[in-house]
Amino acid sequence: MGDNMLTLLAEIALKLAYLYPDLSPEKISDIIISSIESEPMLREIFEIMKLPTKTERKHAELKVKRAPVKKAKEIKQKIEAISFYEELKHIMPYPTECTYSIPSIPYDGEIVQETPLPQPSNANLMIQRMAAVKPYIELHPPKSVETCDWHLKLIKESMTTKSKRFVILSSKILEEVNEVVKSGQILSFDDIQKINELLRFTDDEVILNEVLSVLDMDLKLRRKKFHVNCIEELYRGEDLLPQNMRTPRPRQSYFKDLIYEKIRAIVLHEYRRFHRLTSLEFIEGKISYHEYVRKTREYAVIASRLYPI
Amino acid sequence: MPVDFTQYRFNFSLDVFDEPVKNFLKQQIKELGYDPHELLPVIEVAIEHAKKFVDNREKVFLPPRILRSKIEEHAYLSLRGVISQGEKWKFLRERIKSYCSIFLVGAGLSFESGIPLTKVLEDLVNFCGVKNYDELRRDREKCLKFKLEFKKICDKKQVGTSHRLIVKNFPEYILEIICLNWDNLIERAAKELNKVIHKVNEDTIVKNERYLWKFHGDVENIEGRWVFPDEKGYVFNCFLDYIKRTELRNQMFIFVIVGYSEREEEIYENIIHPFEKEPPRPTFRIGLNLERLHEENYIVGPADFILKQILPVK
Repeated sequence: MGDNMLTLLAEIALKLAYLYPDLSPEKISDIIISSIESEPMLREIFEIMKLPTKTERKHAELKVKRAPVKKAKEIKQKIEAISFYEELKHIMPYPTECTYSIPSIPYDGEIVQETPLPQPSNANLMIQRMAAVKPYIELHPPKSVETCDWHLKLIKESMTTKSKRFVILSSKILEEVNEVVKSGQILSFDDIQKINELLRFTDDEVILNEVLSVLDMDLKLRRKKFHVNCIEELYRGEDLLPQNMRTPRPRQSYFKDLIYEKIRAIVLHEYRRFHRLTSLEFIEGKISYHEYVRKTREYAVIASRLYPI
Repeated sequence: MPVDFTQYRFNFSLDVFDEPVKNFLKQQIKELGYDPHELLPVIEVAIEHAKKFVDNREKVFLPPRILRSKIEEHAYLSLRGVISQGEKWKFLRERIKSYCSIFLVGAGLSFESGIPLTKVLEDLVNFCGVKNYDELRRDREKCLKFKLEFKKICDKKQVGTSHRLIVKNFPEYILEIICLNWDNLIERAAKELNKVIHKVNEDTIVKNERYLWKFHGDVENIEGRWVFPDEKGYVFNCFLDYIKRTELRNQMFIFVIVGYSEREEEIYENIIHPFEKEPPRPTFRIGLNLERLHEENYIVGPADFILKQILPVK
């Protein structure tokens, strides 16, 4: 196994650790192993990862030129598989999603596979975060794929180093979202995603206070621009559901609860705004009905991912 | 139609959103400058349509609030579509002004006045002591009871805007009214407006021109024949003679079908087909089928609201 292989697995493990903080390192290892076992394509990629370095790839390409036609085709396929893996690694912030969380959505009677939405800006954010935390995770790969004895080790760091890193990262995110609202723009789904990520790893009241003021500013802008009161609009309807069917909302800290309430309002309003614009495009004949269905569905899926429950 | 409980996805029926979605849509319609009460039937259809849309397509988990917004926004799109039919209204109004028209009206015209539609009429059939229309036809006494009960219901109902508008435009812009409803709301509207409309509710010889035709029965003619919803429909022979005598079939007019499902064979073959296709005439349909919103000659909306937009005399 090459270094790149280790990096990929560490990234997957890290992502899992972020998304599911309750998962133990052993469980994360299990998930990674099962994803390899259940996905022949990934397994194939992993197996041929003996060729990932530049020199080796060049060598393989040379081999293609020299090899007989059948062999050349085989090697070409392997190179394509490597390119696929590399592309995947760069465009997908969540490499694991494409292996074991692909929802099937019927679309006009046909079963289509929904691939996770490419989110380049989030990918950048993930890379930054991975870079920040990478030194504290070790993944010990098995000697071969068959043995399946992967082991993930989380190295504990001193609290001061950890919080220092988080503060740097938080201030970067805060700076970015602050810039958006200060320039008179409203927050986008991407911005909310950034804030969501930030909230996952901080309880610092100073940071939370700042996040709150950014969200307040956004809501003020929305009221000014769109004449709506998002917070009031927020809870209409949910009370209609019996208590046990309502969206569960476990109480967090005081600030986090306030923040989540505002995020809900913003996500809801942003979703409606997008939906309304798409409807207008459809009414004006700029897009087809299928396009309208596809786009609005996509917005609903993104909004659902961001809507704090 | 209520959407089924889909335990595995939503864990609740989408019907819980009906009232708040309706209130939201009323508010939006108000903001667009229209009276939400005039559009109530189409609001209800739009909500059902949106619920089906969400139910069919959302196989992924959506939080209830996003789900509700999706229903609201999709229903709002349908309503925007209904309101954006201005070109169609104008097109039809101009043509009625130029060529005059013949109106064929079905149950949809009286729906807003509260006259029972076919699907709820079965309750009245059962109330009269029979199981179906066939038994009703065979039992004279019970048939009479049914007619009288229906008359009682009609007498309690109010004349609607659409009935008044049809009367106001008759006979200047509406040459003939073919009414397939048993109710007498058009006649009551005429009385209210002090207008005389000659009515043909029995298959007898007719000598003049411009009539209100009631082929399927009339609450003002209890002894006469009533055509029930399970039949193929009925057209008076005198009407067929009348269109021959007056050469109506060869005249140019706009044919407008309001709130009629077109399921009765006799009506389709003797009236709709010849008027629409032999020779080809501009034919418009007014109904609540949102799936036909994009059709050039189909206008979606409640009769009261649409007739106000398309008839020259308001």
